[in-house]
Amino acid sequence: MELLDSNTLLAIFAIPMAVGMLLISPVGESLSASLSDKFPSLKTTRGRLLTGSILIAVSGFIIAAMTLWISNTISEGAGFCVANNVFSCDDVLGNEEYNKIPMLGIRWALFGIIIYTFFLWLLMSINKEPQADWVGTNLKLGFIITSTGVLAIAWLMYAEFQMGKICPYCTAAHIGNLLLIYAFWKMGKHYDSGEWHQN
Amino acid sequence: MKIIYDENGDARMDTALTAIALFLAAMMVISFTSNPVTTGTKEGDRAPNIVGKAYNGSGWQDFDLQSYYDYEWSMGNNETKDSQWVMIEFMDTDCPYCFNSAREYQEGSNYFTTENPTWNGPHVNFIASATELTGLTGHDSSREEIMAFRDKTTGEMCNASNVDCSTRDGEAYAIPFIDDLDRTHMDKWGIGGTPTYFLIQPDGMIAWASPEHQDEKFYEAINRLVPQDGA
Repeated sequence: MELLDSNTLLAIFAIPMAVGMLLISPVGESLSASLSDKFPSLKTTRGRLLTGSILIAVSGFIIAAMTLWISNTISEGAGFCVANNVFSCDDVLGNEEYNKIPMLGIRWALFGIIIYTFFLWLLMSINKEPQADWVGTNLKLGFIITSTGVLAIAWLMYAEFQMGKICPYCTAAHIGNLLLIYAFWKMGKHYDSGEWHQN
Repeated sequence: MKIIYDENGDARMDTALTAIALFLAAMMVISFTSNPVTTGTKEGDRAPNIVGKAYNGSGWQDFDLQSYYDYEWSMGNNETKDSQWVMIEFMDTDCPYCFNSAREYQEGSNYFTTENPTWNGPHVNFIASATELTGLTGHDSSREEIMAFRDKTTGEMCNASNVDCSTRDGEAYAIPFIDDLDRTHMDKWGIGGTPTYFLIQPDGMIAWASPEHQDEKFYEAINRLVPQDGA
């Protein structure tokens, strides 16, 4: 971990998220056209959306795991992601007032890994059996849960505002959640239109 | 004859196992590469944070204990040898022992500073957290009483409301006094009585807690634990 600084590592971890974002976005169609020879699953809209979503979820999972690791190292006294400017995840993740879910006492970082594991399960199961009759339910469930996540994100942004600090790792995980809201919404729309089953 | 079987259930189960395996793998990597420290008030624990208002002589200002920390600090690291330590006292202006030992703490705050040429260690930030113990006669405190105790000004009664705060031993303090009249911080830190002292390393870990060393004075602990040049 000493070889790379926290920002470089975050940039590396965010690469799958960036690729996933491109795939689920309108430009994803032209991008996937050029890649579909190597990756046949990208030939279809369904495959493109699922691949993009899984990449975002994988990236979010790694970043969430990293926040828990940083959280642990802060408690050891190490400063992995500390900065004197506004971007300092140590100040945010190390703040005992805000780094746990109110009332539950579970660390937000641990909750992040659990929720991204759930997203991965949803997406991988849909990807494995895209024509199953429960796919529509899974897509709706994914959309509802990612949308509910906006409340948690809003609360965490409020906490960051109170601290006057921004945690880049937490923000990346939040962006992943926002992208997944869009991805689940788009896949749900695709599913409801019936095109999902055609390709 | 058409045989009906549930392949869908298998897809969800397979991926659930994969997802759980990923989760467990991540948790194992985290647990092998980090060693989280409990937040608490025992030596070796990370000190619970204190956020609130503190009186510094000119007014009640925002206070955040974490702002004193240097997370890059480590013992023996030359680059962080100037990082500052923290000594915090949980006290009550109406507690007779706190009143009578005020001189010691005030003198300590003037001694363990880089401004004192006699002290050859890093700066130790002295902080007091003033609470109001309940169920004891005369223990009714206020912000005005805290200010009078700190500044040694007249008009407020300290020491179980028996004497004027200005009559306490020692000089006026130059350290922040945190308002803990509602006992929030005291409860959070599990303080059983006053005064209670904690020496906190620059990285926020508790190096010494007076409840664990009844026979050692706070200044003896600083001399023993804070690295000094040539020591």
